[in-house]
Amino acid sequence: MSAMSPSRRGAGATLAELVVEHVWDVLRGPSFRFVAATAAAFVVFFARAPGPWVNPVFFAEDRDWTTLLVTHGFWHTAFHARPDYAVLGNVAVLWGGMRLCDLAGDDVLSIPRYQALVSYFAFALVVSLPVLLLRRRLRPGALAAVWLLAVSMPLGIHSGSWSGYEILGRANNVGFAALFVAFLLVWVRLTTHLRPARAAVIDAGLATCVLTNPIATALLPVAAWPALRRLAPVRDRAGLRTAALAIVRDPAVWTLAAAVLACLAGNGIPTAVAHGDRTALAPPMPFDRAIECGLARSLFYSLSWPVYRWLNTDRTVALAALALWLTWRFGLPRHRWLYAGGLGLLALTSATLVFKRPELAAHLGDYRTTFPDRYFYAQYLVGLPLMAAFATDLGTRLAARPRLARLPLVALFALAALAVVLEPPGKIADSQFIVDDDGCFSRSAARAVALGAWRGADGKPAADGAFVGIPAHPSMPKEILLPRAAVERAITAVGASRTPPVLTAAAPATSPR
Amino acid sequence: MATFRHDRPPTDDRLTACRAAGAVRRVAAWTLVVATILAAGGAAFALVERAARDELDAIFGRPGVPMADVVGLAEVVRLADGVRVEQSFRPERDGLDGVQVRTATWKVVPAAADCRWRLVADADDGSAARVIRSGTLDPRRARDWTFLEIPFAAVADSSRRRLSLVIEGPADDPGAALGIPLFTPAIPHPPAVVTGSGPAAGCLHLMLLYPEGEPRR
Repeated sequence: MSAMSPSRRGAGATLAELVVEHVWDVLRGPSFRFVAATAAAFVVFFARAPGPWVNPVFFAEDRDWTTLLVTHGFWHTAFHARPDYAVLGNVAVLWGGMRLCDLAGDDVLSIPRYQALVSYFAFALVVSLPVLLLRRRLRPGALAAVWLLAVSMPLGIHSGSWSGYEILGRANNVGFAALFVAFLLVWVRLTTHLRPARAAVIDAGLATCVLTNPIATALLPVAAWPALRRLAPVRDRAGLRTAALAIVRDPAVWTLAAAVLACLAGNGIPTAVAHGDRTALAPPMPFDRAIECGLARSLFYSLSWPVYRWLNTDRTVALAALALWLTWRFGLPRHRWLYAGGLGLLALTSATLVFKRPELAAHLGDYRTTFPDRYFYAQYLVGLPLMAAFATDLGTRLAARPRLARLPLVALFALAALAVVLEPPGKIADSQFIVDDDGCFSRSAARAVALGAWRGADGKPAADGAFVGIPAHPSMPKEILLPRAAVERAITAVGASRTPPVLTAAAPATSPR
Repeated sequence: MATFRHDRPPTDDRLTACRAAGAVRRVAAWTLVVATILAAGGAAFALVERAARDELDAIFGRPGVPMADVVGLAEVVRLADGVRVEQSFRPERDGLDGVQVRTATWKVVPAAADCRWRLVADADDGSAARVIRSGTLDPRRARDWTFLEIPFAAVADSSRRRLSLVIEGPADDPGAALGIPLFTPAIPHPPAVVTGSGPAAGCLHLMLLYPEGEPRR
């Protein structure tokens, strides 16, 4: 209810009073909670990993895909950056960064900073989505716990590994989160009355997720369940005809079909082809590593991360079995489909990693390190709403004892507090500065222009090429192509303010001392 | 601003006007709320950025002047089994009081080891070179692809000398060893000399430190 009386809402109220009254309405609404949660998550993620903004470099695929964006445009990059599947979401982040750089009036050499901003925003949006999408499915306290756990998710930022450097603020690893978004969208799709407009939005979101992370393809058949369910009571041919007609007339079926067609057009028929020498040549993942990768990191990392370094194969299997039994035994029957679906998705992801990415075994550290966290943070996120639903179920079962009923939710908040303690946002980790630019890129660009390192759109030297080939970083000497005219403008504009290359006097090669 | 009056019967026109006015007020309210969030978020962002930049400077040490611009990685020398890397250079200014050398650690913290360094002044008259500064460095301070600072007492007349920095690894293999990456220089520059293999394919990425410093960015 509004803080103002109905009479004030009508005649006599000033414009300011009416606006203030609406402000109260806005503050009570779910959209405000979503916007505020996104803004807060943005700041928290920036505080956790400020490196990409204060120390920007074109990193890994971000460099290659930015080159493709510059030379071939958005759609080509989204669908051809990788040979095996589309990376629509990742490319959208990179493209958004480039447009933001334009809007801010900054020079082309500053693009990675703005791509970092858009990346923080994308991660913030993803972790805040439950606040909006699950507001009628989880209680406010549970939603708050999910959000807190999501923004404080353990990412190995203070471990000294590359994990802290390559996720937040980067675009190349945003795509993993599409699995989590697809999970939320399917959850909503299965539990809501699907008006055509809502179905279209959800299915467009699903298609975007699948065209970013192909594992989300597994959720498309699940999304069709409400339509398929109409066939369940069919007993004769007439009933079948009626059910089929009802399915065909359902707009939500058409929007889903359009999404599936878009996914097929973008990704093709899913095939089990290993891409890259490291995957093709890697031996099958050993059993212990498979348990570490598939169970400890993927299936129940949302629960196991506080004791991860204490785990081994036996303990992992025992804890996973205990967690599954507890879920089945104490979860409310009306949520069992959710647990089965969520855990099934995690199991599928685990199996995909174990059987299709066996080279990961070489990176896993026998429970001593969580690197490479990028492959696992999405599974962690998927586990959070499951944990919140389970905590709510436990609370319901304990409703007769109010004090005990709050304990499960309190435990979730305690877990979030532990995550904040272990990876404090205010303490900037060394991992943020693993690769230092220190003006190197600007100097490399100036040198590339001075030497006339012109390139064609294919990356080959061309005297009249529209692009400049610039080594992205001394430790990552692969070139990035940027528009020649924009780079020349940037160098002219900032050349005087940058430290010029220092030419030291030639000294003879020294003799051994 | 149109408002709905209960004492007069509604008409279509008045209802439309009221709805439009309501929409304007909602937009105004949302604008106010979003502007507040942006302002608060911007202020928080600025605070974090300032702290991060301070941290950045603390991690990389004081800003230095590059010995030579580098453009590409040539190789990484592993400091173990007595391997020694030597790089000659000529400072442009007087008062050189330290150098920062870019290191590689293969994504782990190097093990403690007895690494020594010395600064050698080449004699211009052909006489023997002499060690003017020396010390040890702790490989555990090094991080992957960042600069490791080696401070020393200022060399008052550094601009008139040709100097060489020599870094020598431990006699044995400490396992997780410190690495010294060598880079292709952007302009011709004497390459480093690695014990046993002579002139290397590149030079050290070396920053020269002076008391007055250099603006980092």
